[in-house]
Amino acid sequence: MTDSPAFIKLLRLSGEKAGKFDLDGSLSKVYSFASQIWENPRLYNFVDHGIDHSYRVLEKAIEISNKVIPEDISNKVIPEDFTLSPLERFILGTGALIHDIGMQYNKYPEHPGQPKDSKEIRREHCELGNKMISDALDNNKFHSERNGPELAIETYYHSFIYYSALVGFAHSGKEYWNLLNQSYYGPNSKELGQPRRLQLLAAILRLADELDCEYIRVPELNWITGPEISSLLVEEDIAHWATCYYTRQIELTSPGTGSMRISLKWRAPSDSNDKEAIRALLQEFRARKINEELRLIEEYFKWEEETEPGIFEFKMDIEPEEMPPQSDELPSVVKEYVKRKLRPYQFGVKESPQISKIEQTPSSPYMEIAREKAQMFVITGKGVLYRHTRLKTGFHTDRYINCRELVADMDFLNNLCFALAQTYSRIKFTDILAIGTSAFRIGSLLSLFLSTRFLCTSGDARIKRKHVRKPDYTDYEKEVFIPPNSKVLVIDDILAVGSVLQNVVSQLKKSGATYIRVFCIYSLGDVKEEIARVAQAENVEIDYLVAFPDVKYEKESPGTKKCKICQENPQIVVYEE
Amino acid sequence: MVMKEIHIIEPLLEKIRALLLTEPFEKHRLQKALSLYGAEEDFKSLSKVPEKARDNKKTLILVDFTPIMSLGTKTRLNELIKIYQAHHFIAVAKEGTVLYNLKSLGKIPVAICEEDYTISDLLLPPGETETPLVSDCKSLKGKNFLTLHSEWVNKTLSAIIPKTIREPPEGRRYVRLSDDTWANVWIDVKSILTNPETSFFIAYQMGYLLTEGYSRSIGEEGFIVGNNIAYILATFLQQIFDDKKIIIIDHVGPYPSLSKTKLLGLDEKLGEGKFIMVEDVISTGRELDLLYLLVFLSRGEIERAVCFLNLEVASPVVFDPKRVFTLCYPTLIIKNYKRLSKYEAKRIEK
Repeated sequence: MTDSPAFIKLLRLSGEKAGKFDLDGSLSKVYSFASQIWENPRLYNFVDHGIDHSYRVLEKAIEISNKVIPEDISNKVIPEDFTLSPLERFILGTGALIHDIGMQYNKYPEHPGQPKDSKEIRREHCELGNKMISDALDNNKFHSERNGPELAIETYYHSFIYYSALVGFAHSGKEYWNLLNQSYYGPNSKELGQPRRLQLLAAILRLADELDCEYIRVPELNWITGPEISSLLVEEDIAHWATCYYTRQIELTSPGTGSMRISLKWRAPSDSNDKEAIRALLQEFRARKINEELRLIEEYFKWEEETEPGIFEFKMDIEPEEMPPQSDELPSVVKEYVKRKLRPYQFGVKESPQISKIEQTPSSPYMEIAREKAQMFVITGKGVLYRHTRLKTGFHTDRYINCRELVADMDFLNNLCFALAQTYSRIKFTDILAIGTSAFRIGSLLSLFLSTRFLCTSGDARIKRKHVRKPDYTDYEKEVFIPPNSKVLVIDDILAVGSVLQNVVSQLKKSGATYIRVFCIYSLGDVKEEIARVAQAENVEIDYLVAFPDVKYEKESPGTKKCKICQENPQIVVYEE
Repeated sequence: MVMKEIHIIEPLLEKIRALLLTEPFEKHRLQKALSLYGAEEDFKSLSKVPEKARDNKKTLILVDFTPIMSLGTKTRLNELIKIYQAHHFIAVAKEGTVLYNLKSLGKIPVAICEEDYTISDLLLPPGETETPLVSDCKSLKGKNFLTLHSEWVNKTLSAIIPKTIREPPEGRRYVRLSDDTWANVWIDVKSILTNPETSFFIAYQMGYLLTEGYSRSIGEEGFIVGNNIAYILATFLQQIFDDKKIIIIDHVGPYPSLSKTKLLGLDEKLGEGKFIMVEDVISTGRELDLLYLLVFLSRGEIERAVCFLNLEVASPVVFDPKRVFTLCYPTLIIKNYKRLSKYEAKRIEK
């Protein structure tokens, strides 16, 4: 297994610091944490994902960065023959070390040893890895003694590991990648006087991870034919095993900075039918996946103003190489797989990240601070209740975000309100309507900033133009009166399934509001359908601060009054919102 | 001597609000406002003469300089005083730097307060002998400024209440409240707080009560609230005392519907600290008692409580009523306020 000094040497981090933060010492701590996790791996149905894989990914990432990132001569922090700052190298190194730790699900106390379905492992490994990192942070596992007890260092220690987690876990799925999709992590971002381009690092790591697909990851293809493992295999596993096994080398060449060519040299079997089958597999599965990642890195460079169109060229070749004689025969599982002519990418090729149809709030320094706080709140798990919870709307979720704790943070509140006041000042709203406790706090302060009327209501609001007398106090409590031709900014904390918002928006429309804009802190779940429903009313625009599309909601079914999860797990304890 | 109706101008309130709107990220807003009063913008906001000042036969305008530690340059002060002289203002100040500044100018009357806020002396501009202004000044002598201030706050806020009183529908004499008690009228506090300026004013006055005219600091760790409406007031209060934390335990009273989820981690948040409870309305004091007990059981303590309206229907049982600070007693406005208990209401209903 590759040791810690090898990582430090590869990254040239020996004695390097960011401010007073000791980079090499902290990297060693992360290394020992990751290596402990990778002791006795139980991933029988996967190719190698351990420390050696991390090292190879890092090697490739450094190679890519040296080939594609233009040197910044003006920046003295970065050595001439290196294109990443020491801080970036630290983040890249730690990101590579931790990026797959979640695959070792059995090392996390909540997931004891039973083998899991590989699809499930792939789907959940980033989230589980993040939990492992959060726990380790809480226990000061990465803290180098040389960093000392200073509070400022403590803060950096948390932030830098958080950056590493963002970069590392953005290698799969959309959740973490979407978090990086903001200028704060973009091409010009710096920290402690050093460049800190997290989007770039994440894109490079994704590509490097995909490029580590050589035969060294599969010592023996016949393993997958064994009865123990073959029963666990799914189509995607076979595709991974086979493409790795037949890939001899991935070669990166660069005609000049900013241009890169990727060659995939493979070991073609002697049988012509087998050869064509493997070629098709490499083209459809591996080459396609690499191209997906290449597009990401290309996108990143397009954002930079200086970039000339067409300068970044990425090409992909598949060149035949001779196979070693002992593995000439294709294992039956691969043959069967190819026979079925299933397109491998139907079974879990990483999707390209896409931004939701509803708009993220425009970026500004204050908005970015608020956004980062909101992201940290969920990512670190401090604001999330991982329990099966029934919401007031009747929906069930396994991840309940307690937004009021976030809003109670005055720094978050002030930054958010100031940023929103800047964003919305030109619209000249007449009213701000807050829905629910957390929104009350935002709405009341924002109304002072914007000098507008402030209205508040609970979720099941009934909004009436005329005062209708009701005998019950609670009816008064829920009523909101808006004059006709109002321009209303609706503030909600969480947009989950949109039912509350839909109710409020339709009532506002009936009351004669001419323009409605909605702001929510979190946009959760797959909200497209709900947004379409809300947006049935014209002139409704929805802004959100942070999106977490993977938080899912289950509806109570009308007959049983139970959600799918409750039906499947009758013993589950349901918490009430 | 008959005293005129009083209106108070509060430079500190204007200053804190301006700081909040321009520098919302700066810490220690209150301390900054207290020590750095005197920029051009401060005097600009102060020079907006309220309508009431135009009728100086009925209203006596007091400018409350008591909390402020120092004033700006003499030139700016002179400009301001020109406006003030024309409108019959009286400055109120405590012994200290501000008084020294005002004395050195000697152009406007100053009511000088002792440490306990009793107006002990008057500083009249030279040449003023038996004018109506001198007579007004003399009427203040011996009065306690904090008492005058709280009376003015009570009056100002009481003036808003009538617009927000809701009555039962025709044919009914009572409105059913959420704890199943009945009331013949109901004050819609939410509609008072639709104007953020009013909310900020109420929060400032709460702070004024808690710190005895901003002469002391708050020793408690933060504010605690038991319902959504009080949360709005506490939000503004926290903007004034920006080093204090805020804890909300929603749905405590008057009819508790607490959920377990919302109470998770309350012990940690309270951390055995002392807190000030912020309330919008106290009527029977039940919510106050419940919150006090809940916090007590979670190893925290509610040291004091501050409320916007106190209907004085009943007194809290567990919490010491002497530790409740109230801004406004609207009992005179809703003279015939009736509240029926759950059982009495059921009996009438039958």
